[in-house]
Amino acid sequence: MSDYIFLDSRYAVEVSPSYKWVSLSGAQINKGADAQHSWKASKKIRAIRLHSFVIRRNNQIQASQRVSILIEELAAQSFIMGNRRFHFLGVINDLQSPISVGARNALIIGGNSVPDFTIYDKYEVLLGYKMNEGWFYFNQPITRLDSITVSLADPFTTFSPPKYEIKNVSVQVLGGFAFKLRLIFDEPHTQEALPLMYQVNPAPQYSIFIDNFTTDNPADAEIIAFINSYEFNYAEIIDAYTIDVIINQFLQVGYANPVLALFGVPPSFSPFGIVGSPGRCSVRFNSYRVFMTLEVKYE
Amino acid sequence: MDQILQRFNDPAEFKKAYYLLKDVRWDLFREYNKDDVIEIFYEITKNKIRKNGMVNLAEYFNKVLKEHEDIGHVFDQLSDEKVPMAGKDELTRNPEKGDLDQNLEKDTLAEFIDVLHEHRFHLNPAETFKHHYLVLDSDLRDLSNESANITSFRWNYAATFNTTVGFCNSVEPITNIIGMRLYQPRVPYVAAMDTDAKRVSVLFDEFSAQAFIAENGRRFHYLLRPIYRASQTSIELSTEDYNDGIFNFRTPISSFDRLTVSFGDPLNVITFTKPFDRFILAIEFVCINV
Repeated sequence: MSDYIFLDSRYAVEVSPSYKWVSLSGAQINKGADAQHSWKASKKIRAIRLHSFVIRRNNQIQASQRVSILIEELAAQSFIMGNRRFHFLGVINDLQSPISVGARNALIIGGNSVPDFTIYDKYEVLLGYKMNEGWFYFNQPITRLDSITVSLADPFTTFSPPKYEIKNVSVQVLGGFAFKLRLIFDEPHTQEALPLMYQVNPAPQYSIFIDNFTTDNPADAEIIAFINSYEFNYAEIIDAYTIDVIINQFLQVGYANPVLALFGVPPSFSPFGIVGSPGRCSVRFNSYRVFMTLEVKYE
Repeated sequence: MDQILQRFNDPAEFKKAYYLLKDVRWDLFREYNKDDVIEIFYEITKNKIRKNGMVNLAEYFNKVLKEHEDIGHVFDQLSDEKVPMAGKDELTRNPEKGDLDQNLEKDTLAEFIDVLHEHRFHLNPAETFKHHYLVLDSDLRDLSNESANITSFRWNYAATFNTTVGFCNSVEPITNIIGMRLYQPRVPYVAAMDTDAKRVSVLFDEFSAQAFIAENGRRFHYLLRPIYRASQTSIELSTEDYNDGIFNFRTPISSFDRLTVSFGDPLNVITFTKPFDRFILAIEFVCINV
C-alpha cells in the first residue's frame, strides 16, 4: 500500500533553513490546497521514494553536481557521512545547459529576445535510475510521521532554499517614465544579488505575483484587480529590501507597438492609474516555488 | 489444485482437501514461485486435515495469493481477525466440511500465520530483505597506507562504534549481502578514464571473489560510461549503461571490515594524484535476514 504526497513549498510551514510540512487530519484535510499535505501519520512506513524535482540554482552544488536530501524526522535510518545524513542523493541537471539556448531558451517579449525565466537558473534534481530510483527502505518500520522536514545539501553542507512568498510588504506608487510599484520588504527579498528581470539587455530571470494589494480609494478597483492577478516579469532590484515592479510604461523610441499592450494593462488605465494610498501586500517569487512528490510505502 | 490433491492418497483426506481448497483462486498463482507456494499450501492443508481442524482455508490462501508481494499487509489483516475469532463462544458447524473442533478452530488462524511467517521468504523473497545504506566520502578515507600515487581508496568499516576519519558508517551492521547498488558516482577526472574504450571499471576489492574477470586478471563489479565535460575536474561515471549500478552476489557476503575501491581504464588500474575533488560513493546494500 502506498500514499503519494505532494509537497508544495507555498504551503510549507517553514522554508528556511529547511522545508517543513505538517500532516493534517480530519476536517483540515478538506481545506482546499492544504489537502495535498495529508498522509497517514500513524501507519508503519516501510519505504519512501522521492521523485525528481526542480530547485533554484545554487552555487554550492555546481561543483559536486549532487544534492543530498534528508527527511529530518527519519534521520535515525539514513546514510551517514560525517555530520551529514541523508536519504536520497540526486544528480543535477541544469535545465539551461542541455538544451539549445537559441531554440529553447528565448521568448520574444516586446521585440527583445530574453532568457526564458521558466528555466533560468533552474536545476532539476534527478532521482531516477541513476540514483536507486529514489527509494529508501527502512529496516525498522517508521510508526509515526507527523511532519516532513526536508533539508538540502551540496551534498556535504546544507543550504537554505529561497522563500517563495514574503508577506506584509509595503508599497509605494512611483511615476515617471514608467508607472511602478515600489515593494519594500521587512526582510531580504532574495538571496541573489543579480538584478531582477527586465532591462533591454539582459532580461527577465523570473516573475512575481502580487497578492492582497489594495488602496483606500474604491476608484482603483479595476487596477487593483489587475495587479492582484497579473504575473509580472518586468522589475528591477533596487537593493536587498526593495524591488520596483513596472506596471505600465510609455512608448519607447524605436518600438512600433504601445508598451501598454506588452504589459497586459487594460488600455483604459491611466499611466499613473492609482488614485488612493496603497496598503501592504504579499509577494510571491514564481521561480522559487518548489514541488516535491513523495511516495510512502506502508507495511 | 490437482498438484495438491493428488498427494492425498487416502480417499477421505482427498475429499476433505477438496472441500478445503475448492474455492482457492488458482488463477492468482504466479509462475516464479508457484512450486514454493504449492508446497506451503499442501503442508497447511495436510496439517489441518490430520488435526481435523476443518476451516475454510481458501479465504486465507486467496489473501496470500492476491497480496503476497505485500505479505506484511496480509499478516496485519490476519492478525486483526485473530483476536475476535479467539473470543467467539460458538462456531457454526457445517456437516459438509466435517466435524469442527472449537479449540483447533481457534488456533487455526494463528497457526496459519505462523506457517506463513516461516515460509515468508518463499512467498515474497524481497519482503524479507534488509536494505543498508553506506556512503564513502573521500575526505573521510583511510590515509594510513596511501602513497603519492593513489591506485585505490580505502575506508575501514565500523557500523556505529567508530565514527572517526578513516571509517565509513551505517545505521546497523551490514551482513549477508546479496546485492549492491551504486548510485551514479562523480569522481576526480583522470585522462585515463575518458579513453577510446569509453568504459571505467570499478572494483570493491573485498568482494573481488565474486566479480567480472578480465583477460589480464583485472576484476571489477561495474563497467561504467565516462561522461566528461571539457575543463571540469570531475567526471560522471554513468550507471545508466551498466545495469543501473546493480551487482548481485551469488553467495552472500557475510561481512566486511573495510572497503577498498579501485578504478580501471578499464583493464589497467588508474592512478590518482593529489589534489583532487572531494567525491562520494553511495551504495545501497541488499541483504538477507538470517
